[in-house]
Amino acid sequence: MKKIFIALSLFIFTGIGLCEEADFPNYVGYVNDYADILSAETKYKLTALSAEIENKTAGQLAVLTIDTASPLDIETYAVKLFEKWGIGQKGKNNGVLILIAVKDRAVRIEVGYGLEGAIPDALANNVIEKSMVPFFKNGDYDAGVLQAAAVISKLIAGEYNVNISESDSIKIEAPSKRFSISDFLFLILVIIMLVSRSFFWFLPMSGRRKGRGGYWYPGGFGGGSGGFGGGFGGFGGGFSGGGGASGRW
Amino acid sequence: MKKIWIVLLVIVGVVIVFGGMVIAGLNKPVILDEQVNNSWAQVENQLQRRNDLIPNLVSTVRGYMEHERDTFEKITELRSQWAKAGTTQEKIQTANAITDTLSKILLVSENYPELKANENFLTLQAQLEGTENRIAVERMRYNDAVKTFNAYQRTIFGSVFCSLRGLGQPRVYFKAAEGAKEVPKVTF
Repeated sequence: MKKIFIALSLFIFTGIGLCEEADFPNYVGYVNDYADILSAETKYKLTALSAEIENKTAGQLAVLTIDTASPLDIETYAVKLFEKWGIGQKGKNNGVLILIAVKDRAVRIEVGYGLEGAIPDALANNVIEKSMVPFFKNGDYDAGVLQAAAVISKLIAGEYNVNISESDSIKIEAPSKRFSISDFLFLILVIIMLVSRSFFWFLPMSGRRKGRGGYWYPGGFGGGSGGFGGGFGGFGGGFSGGGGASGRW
Repeated sequence: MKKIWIVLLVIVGVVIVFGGMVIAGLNKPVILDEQVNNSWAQVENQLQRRNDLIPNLVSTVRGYMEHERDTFEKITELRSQWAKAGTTQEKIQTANAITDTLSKILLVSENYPELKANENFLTLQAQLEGTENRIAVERMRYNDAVKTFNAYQRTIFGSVFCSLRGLGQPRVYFKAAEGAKEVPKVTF
């Protein structure tokens, strides 16, 4: 009887194992450095930043580094992992994932449904091209991820009308000192986005923007996750629909 | 006397269990069908979003790409065709045609350096890429929902319950265009 039970459970579990398309890692916190490219200091800063975002806005920012997304492409990997982890709160879908596949030399910012208004694709693309790719080309993953996280946190903060102090502590020199016109335009775009929320009306958006506009969270009540001390309480079950951008370096 | 009670209890128990199963069975097709409808609405949502970007793209690109007049006419026509499309099948075909034409425009644009320097065009390109990705995601979820529904419909009891609820027809999969994987040919 016992043998039959063991054989049966083995059969069932191997069956489950075969159903998985790709090997998705489990999360250990906001920052999951499986490719081992981030310094301890960066991880600490990123965790502090994510914790502050969650405390003040209930939004969740996750970082994952992996070797490769294969056999999937990075876009499919990102959306499936986002769903598996459930980044952002259930129903509000206010999560963002920064995914870096080192050997694929690919990066993706995956934006949950609820934050698509705060972080439109064009802006996400700009963050990748201006804040990440130039650093990644030099192998400086720490600076690229930190700067991208800082910009994203400001965008989320703008959406919820709060101030994220942790992002101010992140100051990184650009790899090239040249300040081009496109940088300037990008900066203006960010400022416009932050200052005038009516700017969003000009951008085509999907109809599934439940979390947009006029949400105000008194800091700290993160819908059962998180907590006051900034401790990580797991992700909340948010969804993404392929919003965001990807880039290669 | 006691025996009758036991028999009655057993009968009542069996009726409750089977009744519950029948009710659940009758509800399941409706729930699955609604899931398909819901995910199709999401697909349409994203397709509409892409269609809204097309006039913007055409007006940005037209000045640079004089030789591609035919392509612009085609995509404008496809866009109005989309508005007229009635059935899911027609909509899928039109959407696939738009995907093809759009990818052709974006591919040809690689040959116009002035266009690649246009900030407006770059923003549009990022938006279009993002929308394509969203469509791919919603299409995947739609196909998953269709798969669940169609599979249930073909099970022994599922087929009975589905036809009882008037949902005997299988739903249509959103297959990507035949040539979607191939690089479109560009002639000059």
